[in-house]
Amino acid sequence: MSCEHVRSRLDDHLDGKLGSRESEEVRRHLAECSGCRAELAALEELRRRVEGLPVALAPSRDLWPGIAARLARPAAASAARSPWPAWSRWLGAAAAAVVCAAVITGYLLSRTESKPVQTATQAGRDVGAAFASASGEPHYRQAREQLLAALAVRRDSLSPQTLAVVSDSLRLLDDTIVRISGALEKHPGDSHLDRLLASAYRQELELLQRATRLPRES
Amino acid sequence: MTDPGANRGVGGRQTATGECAAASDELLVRRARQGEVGAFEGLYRANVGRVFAVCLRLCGEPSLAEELTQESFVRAWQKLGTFRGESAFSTWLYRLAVNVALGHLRRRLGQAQPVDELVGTPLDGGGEAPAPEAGIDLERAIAQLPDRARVVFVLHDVEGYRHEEIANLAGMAVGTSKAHLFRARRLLREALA
Amino acid sequence: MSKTLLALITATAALVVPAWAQSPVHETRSLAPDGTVAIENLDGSVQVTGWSQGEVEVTGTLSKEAERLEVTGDVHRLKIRVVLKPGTRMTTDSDLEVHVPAACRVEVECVSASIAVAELRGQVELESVSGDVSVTGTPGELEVEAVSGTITVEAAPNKASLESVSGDIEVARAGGSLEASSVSGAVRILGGTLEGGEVSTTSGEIRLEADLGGRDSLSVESMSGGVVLVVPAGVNAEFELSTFSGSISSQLGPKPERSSDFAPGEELSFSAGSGGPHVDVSSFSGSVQLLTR
Repeated sequence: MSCEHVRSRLDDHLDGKLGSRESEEVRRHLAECSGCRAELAALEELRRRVEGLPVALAPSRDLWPGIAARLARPAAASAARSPWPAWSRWLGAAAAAVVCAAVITGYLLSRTESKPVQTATQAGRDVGAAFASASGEPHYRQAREQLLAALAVRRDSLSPQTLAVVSDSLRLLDDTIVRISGALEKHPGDSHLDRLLASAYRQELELLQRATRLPRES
Repeated sequence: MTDPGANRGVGGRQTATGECAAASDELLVRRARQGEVGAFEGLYRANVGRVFAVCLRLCGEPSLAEELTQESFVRAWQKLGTFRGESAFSTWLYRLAVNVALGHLRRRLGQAQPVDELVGTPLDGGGEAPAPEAGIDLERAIAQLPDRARVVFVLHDVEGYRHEEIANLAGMAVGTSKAHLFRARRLLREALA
Repeated sequence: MSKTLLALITATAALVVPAWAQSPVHETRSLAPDGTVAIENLDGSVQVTGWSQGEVEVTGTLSKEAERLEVTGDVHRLKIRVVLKPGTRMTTDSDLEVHVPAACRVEVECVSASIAVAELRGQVELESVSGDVSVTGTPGELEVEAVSGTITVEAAPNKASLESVSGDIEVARAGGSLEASSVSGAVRILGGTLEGGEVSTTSGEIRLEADLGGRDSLSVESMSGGVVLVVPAGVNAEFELSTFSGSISSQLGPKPERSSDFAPGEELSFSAGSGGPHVDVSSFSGSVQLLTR
């Protein structure tokens, strides 16, 4: 074994990753080569010093005030190209929840047979978008529960076929939300996943809203 | 080395502290999830040193590391809803901080880097920043490593990540990660000699 | 039996309307050119065609479960509704053909009735649950919502909005900005020019073959369905493609990279030609293909 070869294997040797045969060859070379022994010693010294590095380091100043100030503002810069209406970015989560409740109540109250055709798209987007802001998930869950309850109240007025399409789609969206949330758990802070999750929340809420205002079928 | 992102089990001292920290973190996390900023400050105080250390070692610049630390905590607050308690909060937080730091570095490392950027042997300079000066202390030597080599070294030798995870996180092949580690250790040994 | 007698019996039989037959309707009302016609029919079919006369004409047949055709309102807003007998379950079949002033506003709400509109130039809003919806001609504005029905549009106007849950959406020619979304249905935009908007699906597939124009950004999003974009080889646009765990293949631009944003997926960002509208394609596990024609 040449010195150059041994030196390229020293790291693995130290980490215990060499097979027994190669390990033995390295050991034999080291016994005869002071140059490579010095290399190994330097590697071991480096490792010792790395292990001695402090686990925590203090920043030059207290960073909390800067953080606290930003907690008061909803997530802004992370959503680079957001399709959501501008007002959702400036509302705090609490205010957004109030708006959401009002919108949902509005929908439930307006549910009459002969009202003119309106699309839920824009309103649903507003509601869904509100949950994409800071700490949105508990509010999303709350809105989802309210809408599911409203849907349960009127499920008898929908045909079995319609109910099947709606519940299959809800299951699909729930499934998607679980998968994306799982991915986020492993990759927290990934802005692409954030956008996908917010989108899935929004689509689920839009679907629930549409379902609560479908025309009576029986 | 120990689990990535967890408290480093140096001499057992850290582990005991780690267990205590985990228990009190859990209570604080519950309260912080309900919107209690005071509880989140408690989590900040308990974890800021560790978060700052990993940010500083990954990016090599103290004021940038402070910004990254703040960004990490702000993101953690926003993502609290997605933390499901499957790992310790601190593990989740450190992982998030690593992501934040790498996300920032990615912009600096540039988009168009080929996967196998090392030309020839691992000892080749590769056209990046020069090696650390000789005779300085370890922290400064790490800070002066070329970006990719530093990221791999910090994640592997300091934080205990495996090459597969580093490859995944930093967007490179496993072999490239190993080559960077080899190079980083070589450069550091020369700097500390 | 003599031929004459047979003829007489046959003719007489034709005059007797069997109990299961539908009853014809014919109503006419005046409508202002900018008026609104709102049509409600639960089941069967609704055809709305634009014409140049200043009135609304309804013809067709009602099923036996239908009590009557109710036409109410005034010259500014007419409401046409098929009223069913109380306690009627589904599977009735009333077919309505409605002619309306071409520029008026048309609103149709059905459950399982299919909707077909043609030669309308005003605002058109169509809602169906399981009926299919078809739009020919070029309405001034278009909004369609279906649940399991498919939506087929010949020429979508600017700012068209098409939503289905499990039905497919197909647009032959896009004419500006477009919002099209389905949960499990496919979305296909096969021609015309897309100038920004949003196309999204959860598990369905997306296929966009329109030209890309305008300055607004186009957002294309899929969760698990695949996305195929077909563009001219000399297209001018800025592309940003990203997936979490799907693959990207592109006949334009550099090779996609493993996303170093901590995901197993890929991303690809580049400017094609002299740059232009921003096209953002994002997927969770679906694959993304950018092909040239």
